[in-house]
Amino acid sequence: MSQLQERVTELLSGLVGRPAERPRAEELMAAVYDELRRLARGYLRRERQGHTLEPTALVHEAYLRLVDQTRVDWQGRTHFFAVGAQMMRRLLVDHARRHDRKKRGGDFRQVTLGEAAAPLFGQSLGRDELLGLEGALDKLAALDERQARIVELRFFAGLTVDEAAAALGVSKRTVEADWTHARAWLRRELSAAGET
Amino acid sequence: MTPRDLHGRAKELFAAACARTPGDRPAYLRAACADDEELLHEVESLLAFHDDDGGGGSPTLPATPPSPRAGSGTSSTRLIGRFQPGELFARRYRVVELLGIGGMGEVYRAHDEVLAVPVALKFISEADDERRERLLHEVRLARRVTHAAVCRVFDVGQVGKEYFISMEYVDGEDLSSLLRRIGRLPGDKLLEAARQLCAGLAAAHARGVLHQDLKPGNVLVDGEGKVRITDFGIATTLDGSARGGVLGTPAYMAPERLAGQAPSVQSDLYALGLVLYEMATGRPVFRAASSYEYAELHRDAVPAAPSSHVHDVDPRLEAVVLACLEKDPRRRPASALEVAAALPGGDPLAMALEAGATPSPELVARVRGEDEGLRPGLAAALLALLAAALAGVFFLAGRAVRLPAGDDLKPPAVLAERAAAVLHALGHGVVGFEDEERGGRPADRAWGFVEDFASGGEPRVRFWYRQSPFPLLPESSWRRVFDEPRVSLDDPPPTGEGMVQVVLDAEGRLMMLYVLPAVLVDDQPPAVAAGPDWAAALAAAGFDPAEVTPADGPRRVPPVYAEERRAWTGADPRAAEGEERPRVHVDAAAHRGRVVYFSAWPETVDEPPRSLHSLLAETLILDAGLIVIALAAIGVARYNVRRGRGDLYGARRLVIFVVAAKLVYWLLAASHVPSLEDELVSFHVTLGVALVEALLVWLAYVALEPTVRRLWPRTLISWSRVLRGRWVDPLVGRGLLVGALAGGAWTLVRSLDRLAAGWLGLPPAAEIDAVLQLERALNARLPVAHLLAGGLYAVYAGVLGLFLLTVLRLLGRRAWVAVAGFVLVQGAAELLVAGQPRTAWLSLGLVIAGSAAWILLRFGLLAYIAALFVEDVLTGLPVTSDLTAWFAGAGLFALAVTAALALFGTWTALAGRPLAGGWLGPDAVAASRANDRSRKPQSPG
Repeated sequence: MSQLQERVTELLSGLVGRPAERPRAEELMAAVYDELRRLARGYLRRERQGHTLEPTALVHEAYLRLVDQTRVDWQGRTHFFAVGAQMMRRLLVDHARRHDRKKRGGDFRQVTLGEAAAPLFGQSLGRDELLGLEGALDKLAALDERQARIVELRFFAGLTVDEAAAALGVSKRTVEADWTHARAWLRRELSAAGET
Repeated sequence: MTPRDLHGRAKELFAAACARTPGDRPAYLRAACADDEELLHEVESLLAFHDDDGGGGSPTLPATPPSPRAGSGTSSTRLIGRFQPGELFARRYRVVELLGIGGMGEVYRAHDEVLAVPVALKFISEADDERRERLLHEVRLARRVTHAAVCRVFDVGQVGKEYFISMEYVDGEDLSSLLRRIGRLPGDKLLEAARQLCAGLAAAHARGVLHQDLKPGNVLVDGEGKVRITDFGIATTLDGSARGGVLGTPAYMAPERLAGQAPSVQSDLYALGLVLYEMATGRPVFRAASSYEYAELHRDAVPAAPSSHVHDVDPRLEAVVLACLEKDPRRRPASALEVAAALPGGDPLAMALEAGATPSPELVARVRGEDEGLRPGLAAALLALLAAALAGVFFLAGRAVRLPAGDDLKPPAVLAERAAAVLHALGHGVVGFEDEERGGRPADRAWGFVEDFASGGEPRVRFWYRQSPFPLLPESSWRRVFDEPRVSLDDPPPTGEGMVQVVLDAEGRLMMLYVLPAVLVDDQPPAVAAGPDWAAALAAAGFDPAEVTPADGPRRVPPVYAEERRAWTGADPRAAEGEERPRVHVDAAAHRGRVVYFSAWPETVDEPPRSLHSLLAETLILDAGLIVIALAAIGVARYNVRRGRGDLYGARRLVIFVVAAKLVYWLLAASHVPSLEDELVSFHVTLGVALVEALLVWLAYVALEPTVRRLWPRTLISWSRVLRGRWVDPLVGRGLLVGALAGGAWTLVRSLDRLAAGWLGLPPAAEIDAVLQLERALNARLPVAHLLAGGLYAVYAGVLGLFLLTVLRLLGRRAWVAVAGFVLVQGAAELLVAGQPRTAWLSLGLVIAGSAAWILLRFGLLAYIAALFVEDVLTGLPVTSDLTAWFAGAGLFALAVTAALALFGTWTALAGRPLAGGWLGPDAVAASRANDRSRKPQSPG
């Protein structure tokens, strides 16, 4: 654990300011993904079967476990959450898509996303809603990648507007504008999907 | 326009439209979009889904759509367990109901059909190796702790693939739902629950178990308001032998735990502080949405004072809760007991005993006893009793203690002059033996008293006088280490040329003379032509010349070279006039015309020398025993220091006391000579002995004191206060007063015992050593020095007594066994000293040892030490009712010291209450008490 923590911390501090280093970025993503999957499995196993999964909590727990917080500055931190949100999203979607094929322990039925998702989904969302969100997000990314990233950070890592602004290196006002618009856009998109 | 462009333009217009009031939007959009219908439609449809305004369009979805799945995973459906009520499984447990879903699985209430008691059963779902290991781990750790405030875990069981643990069923609810229901706990309930929580946690910590997941959800409250700590699922051990590793609940985790540091008692106390806070205010200290935010809050945010939420919070509770919530673990209270002690009311020592926890010395010193100090009436009664005891000691002194009366024993200065005069009369001290540069005075003189067992009847006190042409310093290392560091009749041995020994009886008659001539120096005195003056020697010895007849021949060989020897028998000059006087044999010898040896002492029969084997065996057994004890003490002390259990501060104070007392005693009581070299040697020997002694004291104290503190913490309250410099304290005062009374009473009992022995015609019991008493009155420094020696003795004997009691308690496991053993051992010791089984067995053995045990356990170590000190002072100094005696001053000094100690004790014990009228300066005492109260719980004693 501590060795892993060491390595992730190192990767994180090395990556900041040098985003071009792809192998390192991939190593970090792989480490985060593994940890999230481990945590999610442990978490689900601890709970009654079919219990609600809270991705934001998992990402934060992964952060606590993987990163030596005394050695990472705010940039490293936001970077971690950016990666964490991405990996969490991928993990959830992988999981949701697989659920029919593999019926085994550690499944979830409900996902409770970050607070920011509450106006859209209420307390929690099921697999179908999750896959719908995934499709909408893909579509949004094609139209405006940054908006999709903001939603990802808000939903899957539970970042605030300020933190998302820091993670993406844009102003808070920009994120706010993007976020307000994306919300309306998503709601429209999802309601359209629900009707058809 | 590509979809991307459209999206981008729409986003800009959407933002701009949102900035306007809903009424202005249509006009604005029409103007902005010009004729781009696609763009206009896009923005308008988005605005319809915008959720931040009050009336912009009518969204086709409600702002917060009720998700059909939202409620599906919550309470209503969740509480359907795998077992139905009424189901019997493991052929033992009948399910009553599902209580809830815990962190690992379902918890049922069930009825144990075998024992016919209710139990709670906690299941783990899908048991793999890891989860099963965790379950076993929980049972293992939880079963270490037995305490009323800790939910008992019975056993682990298996039904098919299901593992479960059976535990105490608590008929109530957990604290978090209780708080949700009633808001917060009312004042008295709050304190009681807080104390129980502290006690439970202290019990776990005392067994080396860290809970690690203390939170309202893990605290059960039953119908009577009794609290149980439960769920040791992620507990770990203090020594790290059991792995924990799993994170707890971030909302209730200490900042250092969130930062990945090892758990500690202090991290549990942080959680305790959070729970107490919530109990007192009804709200959590921090609220956050995610673990990360909790981590930040726990790390950086200063918690608002409980009183900022509710105004009726007890300030002491508030202070200790905030102390628990310190970010730096080192600034939190040292233990759960400290937290309990800082709460108003309650009895932390009783709690410590119940929890099997060792209270810290600071806690022991700070704890308020149930009856601190004394009521004025009781204090006055104790003082009166002490006065009566002292009066008894004083008036019985002449009859009970075999001290010569004032008329019978001339003052030492007079006897010394008499000795010099005898020497002069015999021709010594004129030339040669004395240093002419000093005006004819010898370089050094010394005198004292010696016991004469040879003259028949009761032992008599004799006076010895020595002079020497060079400084006299004791040479025996044994005496330097263990005895008086003073010149005695035999130490240094009379081997130096020109040394003189004279022994006189109490009235100044010569009994023994021994002069070592300066044979090797050139200017030895010329021979006296007239020959030795035998008559003068016999006259000095008080013989009636008419009754002296030459004897057959010298019996004793003089220890010095002599040319002439004589022997006589004469009537005993010390026998009463008129009767038939016993004859005494006298030997004498002369060298160069002067009497150099004279002895009118009856011959003594030396004890037959013991065989070398028996001496060796004794030494080996004693030394081996001491070494084994010392090694054991080193081991235990090391263990205590590592575990942080030893009272290192107290031990250090004790060491300082020992070394200081030894050095001051040496300054006051030792023989000093005007020779820097000799003084340096003497000082270093003293310092070395003091340091070795201090080391042993330190070892013994660090090794055994924590055990006493665990078993009998109350015996150490006043003692710990004194070690921490709190002399002016009601409990300390009470201890001193009671101790002084006990010491006086014991002395009186010893006097009465001797009187009784006299009436019954029995030989005297353990004699108080008259010679030592008299020697302590030789000058004004010595009685003061004896206070130091007595203090050291009392501390050693007191601490050892308490340790003896404790070791007996450990061996016997019961307090009464320990007390019985203590009385037996102490009584046997008295008997050994007395040497014969007589009244000693009844009065001294039982009365003194029994009351010693009672005082130790009822009033504490300090009272026992005070008693031993007073007894030592009263029996070690020559108390006499004959005020004309030259040593009467030292006796009165002993009585005055006792009285002063008792009065100081009374003054502090009353703590400002007037004994009779307000003569005690109540303001100062009240102020000091107020100071004590206002002490912060976390400040080191």
